[in-house]
Amino acid sequence: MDIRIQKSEFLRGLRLAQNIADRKSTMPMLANVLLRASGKNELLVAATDLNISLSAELGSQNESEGGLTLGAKALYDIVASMPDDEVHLARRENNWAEIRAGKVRYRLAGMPDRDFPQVPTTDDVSFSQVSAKTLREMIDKTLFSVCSDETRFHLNGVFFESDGKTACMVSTDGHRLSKIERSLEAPALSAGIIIPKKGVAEIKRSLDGGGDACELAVQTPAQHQTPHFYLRTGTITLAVKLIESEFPPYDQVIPKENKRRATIDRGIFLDALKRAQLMSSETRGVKLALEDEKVEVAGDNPDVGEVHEELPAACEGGKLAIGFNPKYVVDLLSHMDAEQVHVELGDELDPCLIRPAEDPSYLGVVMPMRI
Amino acid sequence: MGPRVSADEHREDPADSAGAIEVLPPEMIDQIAAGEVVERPASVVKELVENALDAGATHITVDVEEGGKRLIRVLDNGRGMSAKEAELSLRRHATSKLRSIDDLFSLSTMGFRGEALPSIAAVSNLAMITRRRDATAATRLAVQAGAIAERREVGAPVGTQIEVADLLHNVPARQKFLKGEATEASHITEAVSRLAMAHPEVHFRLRHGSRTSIDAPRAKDGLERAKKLLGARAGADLHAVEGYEQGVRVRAYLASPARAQTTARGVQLFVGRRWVRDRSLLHAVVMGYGELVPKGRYPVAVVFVDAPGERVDVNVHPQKLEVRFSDQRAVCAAVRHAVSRAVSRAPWVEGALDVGAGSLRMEPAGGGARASEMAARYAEARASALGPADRPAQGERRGLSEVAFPVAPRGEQVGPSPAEGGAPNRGVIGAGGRGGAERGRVARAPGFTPASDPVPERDHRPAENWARVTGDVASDESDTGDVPAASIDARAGEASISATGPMPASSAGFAFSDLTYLGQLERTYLVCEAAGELVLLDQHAAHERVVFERLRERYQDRKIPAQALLFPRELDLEAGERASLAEHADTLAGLGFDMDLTDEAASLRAYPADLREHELEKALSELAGDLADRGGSRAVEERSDRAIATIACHGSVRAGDQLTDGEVDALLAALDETPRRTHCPHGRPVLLRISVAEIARRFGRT
Ligand SMILES: Nc1ncnc2c1ncn2[C@@H]1O[C@H](COP(=O)(O)OP(=O)(O)OP(=O)(O)O)[C@@H](O)[C@H]1O
Ligand SMILES: [Mg+2]
Repeated sequence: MDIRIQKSEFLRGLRLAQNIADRKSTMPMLANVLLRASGKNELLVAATDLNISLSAELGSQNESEGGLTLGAKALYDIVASMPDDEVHLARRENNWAEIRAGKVRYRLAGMPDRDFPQVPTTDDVSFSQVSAKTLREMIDKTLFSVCSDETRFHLNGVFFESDGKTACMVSTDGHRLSKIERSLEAPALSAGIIIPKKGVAEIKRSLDGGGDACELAVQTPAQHQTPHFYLRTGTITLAVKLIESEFPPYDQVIPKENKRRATIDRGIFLDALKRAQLMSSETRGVKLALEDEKVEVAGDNPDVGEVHEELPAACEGGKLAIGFNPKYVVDLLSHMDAEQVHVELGDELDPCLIRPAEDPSYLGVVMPMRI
Repeated sequence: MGPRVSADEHREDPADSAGAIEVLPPEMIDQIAAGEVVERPASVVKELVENALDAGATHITVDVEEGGKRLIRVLDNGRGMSAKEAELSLRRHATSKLRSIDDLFSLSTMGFRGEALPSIAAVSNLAMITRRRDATAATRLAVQAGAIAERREVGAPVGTQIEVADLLHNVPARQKFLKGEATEASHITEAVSRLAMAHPEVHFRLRHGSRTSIDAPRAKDGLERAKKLLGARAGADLHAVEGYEQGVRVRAYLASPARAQTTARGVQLFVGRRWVRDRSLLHAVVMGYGELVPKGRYPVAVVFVDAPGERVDVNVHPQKLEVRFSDQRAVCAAVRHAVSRAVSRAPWVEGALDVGAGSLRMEPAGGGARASEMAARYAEARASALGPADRPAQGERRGLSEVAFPVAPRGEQVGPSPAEGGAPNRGVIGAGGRGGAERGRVARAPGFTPASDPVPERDHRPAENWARVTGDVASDESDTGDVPAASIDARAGEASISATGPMPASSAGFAFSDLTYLGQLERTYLVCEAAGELVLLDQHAAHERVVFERLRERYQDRKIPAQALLFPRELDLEAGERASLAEHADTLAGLGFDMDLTDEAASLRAYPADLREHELEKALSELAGDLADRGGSRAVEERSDRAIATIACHGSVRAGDQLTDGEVDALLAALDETPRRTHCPHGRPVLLRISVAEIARRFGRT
């Protein structure tokens, strides 16, 4: 194996690969990237942590074909520090790599490419082209409420549904939930899939680099394959192994007909909650009191002090006092971009629905705290 | 008069006595009766001293030889007896103290049966010299094998002296059950000490051969006496409390929970002026201390209970070591409440906190043996880790932090990968990337001064060394051993040491929020600096205490915040656990749980917001145990306290959790507002203080 490649082209693959390569694994090979030169102009860069795999097809000039694996982080740092635009990489005896640019020459110990785990292939899945921007927005607005308690793996991801025209993403940690629907021409799915949190974060990272076009594909469990979600941006493909579990029946807990509704300026509400947070804690909660023309936000903490604030609001359905973990409401409001939000409430122990006034297809549900 | 008649004519040939009913000879009757009262030398001492107390003595001297097996002599300056009274006193059921059965409930005397002297006389060689104030001469009586062998007038001071020699010599079967001299001697010391505890106005002296074991001059009150008898250490932080509830008066001298022992011996219970053993009262005291005393340990406490005479029956035990209350519950509640009220004010806490800068004693604040063990381990670790490193130059913070937090390489840690190309990790607080962060924090800490900053000269005092400290604390354990005699002696010795020793320098309030936080050690201990000392906090213990107190307060107001769940959560609990939880649904609801419990499943709709969600199952299965009503012996409040402690435990930061500066600041501020803040709810200490003087000493600078 002996190749020449543009530094920027090489980095395009290595940057993503070194994120995925898993240095903490007990399998040392997973800390490496796979480099495989084939034909005259193709270099495959691949990395995997066995759950998320990346393969980038890069353009190169190959003197000779062949493959090798090298430490992902080290290789990225070396290439990024090279003075010249063109990088020359060649395999030497005993899996040593010689990496040169200009007058700089590195030798890096590698491992043979045949020991690298098989990266999922995309041969028998069909990709659909979707808007990267929309996909990104959907991720942004749901990723924050994924459960991070690893023992509850069915909640450790974003639930994704698609009928071919509209896609929906939902996430919940058992206390709050966020749900977004957008028109997206993703492959139609007969059932929803759960994409693990870390995979969603990598998908987001891949989308950050590419343009507005991306393709996605889903290998569902029904097809007797390890189910995967695939994202292709240009010549880079990300394969995320799905969580094979049952997502809770989220639709049942989204209140449909809440009797009370307060319409509040989102920015003012958010700032008030953040102020109340200073006098509260996740274990103490803040109180909201709905009056006719206003909502009162109050927090008190015997160790610190207390706070009261009145916000102008249009309230319907009668008075109510209710408590929340302020973090949950703050998280939700910060992921909305509307000017006004509707806060829809039942009684003090019923789930509360928050949605942007102008966007009926994004919503959050927060369970109250009895305080 | 010879009270005993020869019993020979009652004896029959043993060959044809098998199975036949026969009347016991009076001599044997006496010996059997004696068995009830005279169990061992200490019981003789107890009876004789009680008689002296009943006679109004103000000075009582007890001398014993060979653990009392050879000789017991009790000398008092009480009212004495006439010759006639002296003879009568040796007759069974002859007493000057009880005239009608009702008197039993309004007794002001220790004795009332008229049984002690004859019982003792039946199994020993007893000699009595006694003189009334109005008599010109004293009477001497000598009894041998139950019969009066000598009777004459002698010259002697007012009062009574009784000598009991060769105890049980005529009952070899029982003599052989006596223990070694040291053990019997220790029982005697214990017996005298208990009597002295309840009679502070009397001067007590006890000598084992030529060795004085107790010398307690008349004290001005019970506290002074208790301090004297408990010795300098446990006595020093004794705190007097009083309580009155439903006609029951409680007076107690409580030692710091740090003195907790593995046996119940340190809990001395008195009803009236009688030492008693009583499991429920003991339990009430332990409960009063609550979680400050860890499971399986007992506090050091002296508790006097006074209930109206008609509510106490003292005549239930041959040696009067037990009493019966007509209203056991009320008495226990009074004790529990008095103790717990006092404990919650934690009077000794401030004392522990006020061990000032540069004070001599490195007080591992509490925890008894565990704390001392910790201190010892800590000292060892420091000693080996610090090595000969000299003090870093002032301002050399980075260097200092590395010296200050050395960490032994852990086996499973993966070294920095060569690919990372970084400098080898110097073992600064754990491994991996954390070192840098911690270093940054040390450098950032406001007001940080390297430990080499000059310590004010006045703080330089000769410091005790670790061995002394640990030996010191460890000797607490010997209190629980079988040789109180030795330990009382040792305490007496120590009293003089610490009386002349310097007292803690500062008595100004110690505030956690005044500490300068330096960093986290092993993600377990918070390393802080205060004026002139290094303070280590156990982050879990500290936070647990804060959460516990907050929860307990809110529980009382039924205001524990509960987080509701979107989806009811099925919990994996055993049938027994579900049953126990179902039985205490009310308590659980008060604690913030909302759950459905059936025979098959447990499903949760809301839980206390303080609880860490991923520890829900574990916490609930522990709660099932906490709430279980083990035979009704536990009070409801004790069970709810245990439950709250469990929630606090599963709602607090753990050892291993990385804390941000903000979290540490909040924790320190909250500690200042928290009662009982020196110990976690399970009784482990929250803080360990090491004076700079001590550190200097260890560097050979003093
Ligand atoms: N040290 C003493 N000084 C004066 N009188 C004494 C002394 N010891 C005993 N007596 C008298 O002898 C009596 C008998 O004593 P003894 O101990 O046998 O019985 P008690 O004290 O009346 O009852 P108990 O068997 O419950 O101790 C006492 O009631 C008391 O009058
Ligand atoms: Mg008596």
